[in-house]
Amino acid sequence: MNSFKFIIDSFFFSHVRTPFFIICAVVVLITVTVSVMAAKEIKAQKARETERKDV
Amino acid sequence: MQSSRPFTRNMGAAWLYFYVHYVTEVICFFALTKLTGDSPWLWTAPFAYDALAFVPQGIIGRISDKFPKIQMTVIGVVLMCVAGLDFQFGVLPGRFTALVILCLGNACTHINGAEVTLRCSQGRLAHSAIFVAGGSFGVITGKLLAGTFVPYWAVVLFTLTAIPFALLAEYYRKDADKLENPCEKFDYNKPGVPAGIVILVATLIVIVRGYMGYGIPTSWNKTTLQTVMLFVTMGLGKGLGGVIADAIGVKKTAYLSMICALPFLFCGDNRMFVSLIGVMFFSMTMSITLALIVSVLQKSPGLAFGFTTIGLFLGTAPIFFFKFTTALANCIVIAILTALCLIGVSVIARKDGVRNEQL
Repeated sequence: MNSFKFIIDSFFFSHVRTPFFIICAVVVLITVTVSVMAAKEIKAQKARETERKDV
Repeated sequence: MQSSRPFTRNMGAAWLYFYVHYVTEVICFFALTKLTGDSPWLWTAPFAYDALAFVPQGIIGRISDKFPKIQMTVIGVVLMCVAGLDFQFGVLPGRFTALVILCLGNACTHINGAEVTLRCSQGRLAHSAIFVAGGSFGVITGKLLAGTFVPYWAVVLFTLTAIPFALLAEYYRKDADKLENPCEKFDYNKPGVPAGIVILVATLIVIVRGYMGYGIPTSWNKTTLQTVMLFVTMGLGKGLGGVIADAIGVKKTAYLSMICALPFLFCGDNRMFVSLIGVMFFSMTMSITLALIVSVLQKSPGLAFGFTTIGLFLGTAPIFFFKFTTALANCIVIAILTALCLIGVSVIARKDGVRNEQL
């Protein structure tokens, strides 16, 4: 558990807090964006398939 | 319209990107290993690297899907060289600047590698598996070089050699892009399962496997040679996974690799060769999850690849904060997570040997 303790110590008491929060925010933002992009792509794909079937 | 190019010619793109991937990981792990020698960077550098190199690949992949004329690999190599030179000369301001540039370069080359190998593969997994395998060899080379006298500028020069390989691979891609939908033969998902569920479950499998990878008991790994053998075996396993999946089927390969890996991993804590067999089986699933996501995002292979890399980050991130310290605890966690992965694969992967259009 030493490594765990080291990380907690450095997280709360050192300079790494701000970069850590920035990284977490970036990760969340990008993950949401990519999921939305995929949802749109799936929707477009379904529309293309429906169109093809209709033809 | 079918490509008139034979299978063997399309494999060229996979081997070209094997080298590009190798070079990419050499410079990245050279820099990362040098940085982690500096105590304030001990865990922030690898954590920031994982986040900034893996996570943006979805967005870069989408851009690459939409604008195929952008030479992402060339951009990526140039960015990595700029970062390498900044690590050497310290021109750019800020501690994280060079690392961020390095990560973005890494993401660009990975995305283009995935795009090219997936588009050229005609629905086979071996191409992307060979591309992915190159990374393991690059990681260990970069780590070893960081402990030598080799300066950053020499590694930068070596990185530049990836550009002709990437440009040559573009010809294979252009050839493949003559098809209306180069990835249409990726149809490994179970029909009737919503695309969103396939992406979610496949990404969860990547997360779980990413976490498990760090928990594999390897007490035997004490010397440099043993570490080299570990990474070489990982690379071979990743490549073989794609080749075997093409030969016997995606679902069978997934089951085989997950189930066969368990006994070897559990019994191999102190026995190197037993453990290496387990690691090889364990690494085989890498290309399978990618193929499953591409099956539901056929028009956007770059975006699909992005989900696997986000999964890898989310799987490895907890390692920075929490690890199971005993081999027994690791084995129990690995067994439980393997069972969950098996259920996941059975839910989203179609039966081998039957194409979706035949169902």
